[in-house]
Parts: sequence; structure tokens; C-alpha cells
Amino acid sequence: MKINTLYFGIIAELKGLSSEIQDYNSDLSINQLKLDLNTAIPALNEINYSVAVNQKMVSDDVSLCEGDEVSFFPPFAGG
Amino acid sequence: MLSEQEIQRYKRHLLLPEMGTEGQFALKNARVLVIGAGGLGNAVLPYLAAAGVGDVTVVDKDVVDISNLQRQVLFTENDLGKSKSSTIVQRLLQINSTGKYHSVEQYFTESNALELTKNKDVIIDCVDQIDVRYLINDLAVHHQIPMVYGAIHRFEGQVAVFNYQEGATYRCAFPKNEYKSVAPNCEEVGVIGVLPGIIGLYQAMETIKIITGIGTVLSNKIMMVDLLHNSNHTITIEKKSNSINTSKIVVSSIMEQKMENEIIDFDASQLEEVIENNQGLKIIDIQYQTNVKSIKGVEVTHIPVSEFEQEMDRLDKSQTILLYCAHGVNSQWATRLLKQNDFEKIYHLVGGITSV
Repeated sequence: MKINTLYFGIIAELKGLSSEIQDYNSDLSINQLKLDLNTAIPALNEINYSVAVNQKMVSDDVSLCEGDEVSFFPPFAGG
Repeated sequence: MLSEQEIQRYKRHLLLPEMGTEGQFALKNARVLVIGAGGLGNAVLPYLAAAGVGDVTVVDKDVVDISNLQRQVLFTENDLGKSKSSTIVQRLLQINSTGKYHSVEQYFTESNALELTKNKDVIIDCVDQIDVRYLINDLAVHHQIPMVYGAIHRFEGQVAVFNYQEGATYRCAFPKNEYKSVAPNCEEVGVIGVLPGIIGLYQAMETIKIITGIGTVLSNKIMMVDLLHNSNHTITIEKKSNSINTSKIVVSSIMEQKMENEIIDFDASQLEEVIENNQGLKIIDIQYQTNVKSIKGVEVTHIPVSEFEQEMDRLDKSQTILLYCAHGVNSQWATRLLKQNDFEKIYHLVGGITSV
């Protein structure tokens, strides 16, 4: 299934892009997506960030469906 | 009610049926606390003063640096080295002399937070440290007033109104994970100068909406704006039922911890005095790379911030400790960590070694 992922702030910076469409097997949870992301970018293990599905903030145990839009957003620090 | 002069001054507001005399009067009676007089504060403040917000307090201990002028547009070249909060207050008086403006030349810390947030209607968060944002949130929850949040990163900004009519709080959007750092990063991040202007003006508008009761407040949501690609993304946040209680506990525990152990914030001008008056003081440099700039003539232990949590156990909890890093951000995090681990007395160099 196809998932549209959006990255914000330092996550986009570390990832080098602000969005991508990825193809996954079914039975995918936010937990797994976060694990994949943190494995790809180990620096993210040190950073607190939140996740939204279809523009609604969700907890890590939520399962994903075909076509879902997932946003990874950390709190910004600057002022 | 409004005077004849005020009716002339706010004519364009009064022409808006949503606003009217009633809205303008609400602005006149509002007491607003703006924490941080940097990029966001520079955008929020002149518009609040111009709009007729009656009582505005500006909290910031920083002084104007030449690198601020790229985005902090109320400051001029003549203001270099001057206090940001008092310089802004002077500017606000020139914009609208009918308002009452107060400058507090202090950082917003656990020691002054409760006092500064008393008798306020709205708190506007214009700070540049995530730890301080949690503190602002907890005080907003404690006093049951809204926190107008703005934050920036390079070309991107975030805006939200937290704790509005018992809505979602900062802790609902970004639950604090004690095991992860809150990105305590001393390294300076670049930022496009226009960004704090735009985000700050969103904050000013939300504040005016809250005070006058017009429109829809950005509550239970966080809006993310990307100026580089003109994209705007709003995420819905749910109120977590335990966040208010947690915050209340945090505020009261701040006061309790004060009794047990002590954090003493001081700045560069007091460094010599602190070292002289504390025999057996252990001075710890937690910069990633040291010798960039350190304190001459005294013994300094170097523990890079990345290793601080592990190395902390080797320190003597009864010994008085002085902590510093480059800009005072990482050291603030480390100071709190020591406090949580029952270290008795900790001196913290606000502004870091680069301010010495």
C-alpha cells in the first residue's frame, strides 16, 4: 500500500526532503514507520517528535491504510 | 469607554463590525505577557501596541547583537549592546503612548515564572528554547490562561493557541519524553529574516482574536507554514485528559524543589564573583569541543554534553557545581538534570561562555 509521508523541521532537514510516497506491505503501524525512520536517521532517536495521520495527531499504535498521509513533526525551538 | 482621541486613533478598527467599540475596549483593558524579545517578539509587539492593547510586559535579558538586525526590525544600529526588552518598550511608547509597557530584563525561569505570569490575560511565547516553552505552558495551565505559541526553524514556522478554554496544551502536542533531549542545541541554526515576522504576526492576530472574542482561534490545532514552498499544513491535536494535572504538579514541584536544592542562574558579569565566593567549586564545561573558549586561571573539567548523562554519576552531589556551555542552552538542560538527581547547589552561566 502507498503511504504519503511528510517531514517537518529538523526531520526534513536530516531526511533531505519534505515529502515522499512510499510503498509498504499491509499491517503497518506508526510504531513501525518511526522505527524505520529512526533506523535510517539515527539522530532522530535523540529527538522528541509527534506524528499525525491525515492531519490528526495520533499515538504510535495506530495502523495505517492505503493512501494515508503521515506527518512527522518535531517542536521547533527558534524564536 | 473610549476617549475622542482613541476613537480617532482606532477608527479603522471601529469600522469593523466584528471589532466595534466593545472589541477596542477589550484590547485597552487586556494585560499581555510577551516572553522573548527576539524575532517573534519584534513582530508581535509593535502590532499589539498599535492595536491598542493596554498593558504589555516584555521579558528578555538579552542585549541587541549585530546578528539580530537581519530579522529583529525594531532594533537599529544605535541599539547594539542595549537591553532588548527596554529598547522595545521605548519603541512601543513611540508607536502608542497611551499604552502601559513594562520591561523585565530577566530570562523567564522557574524562579520568576509564577510572579511574572500573575494577573495576565494571555501569554505569548516568543522564546527560543523548548524547555522554556514547557515552563510557559505549565504556568498558562496553572493560571488557566491561553498561551499563544510561535516557533521557527530555518524557513518553517509553527503557530498554535494552547490551553484556550481548556483546550489542548503544548504538552498534548509535544508530550515531554524525559529520556530524550528536547533538542538542546547550542549550535546556531540559520533562519530567513522574514519568517519570525510572519509567524509573529499570526501570534499577534490570534492574541487579538482571543482578547476581542472574534473569529475562530487556532485552538486544538497546530499550523505549520513552509515559506520556501508556500505550503500550509494544519494538524488537529486532541486534549489529553491528564495533561492539566501533570502540569499542575510540575508547577507545584518547582516550588518544592526550590526548598530542597538550588539552581542559581548568573550571567557573565557575575562570573568572577561566583568563582571567588565559592571555595571548592567544581567547574564543568559541557561544550562538544572545548578550548574554543574557556575560563582562564581556574581548573575546568570537560564533560561533552553527549556524555553528560553517563558521567554525571561520578560527580559528588554535595559539591557545588558551576555549569556552562557555549550559549547556555545545553547547560540549562544539564542543570535541570543535576537538579532532578538531587545535586545540592548548581550555578548556571546564563548566555554561556561566549557571553563572557
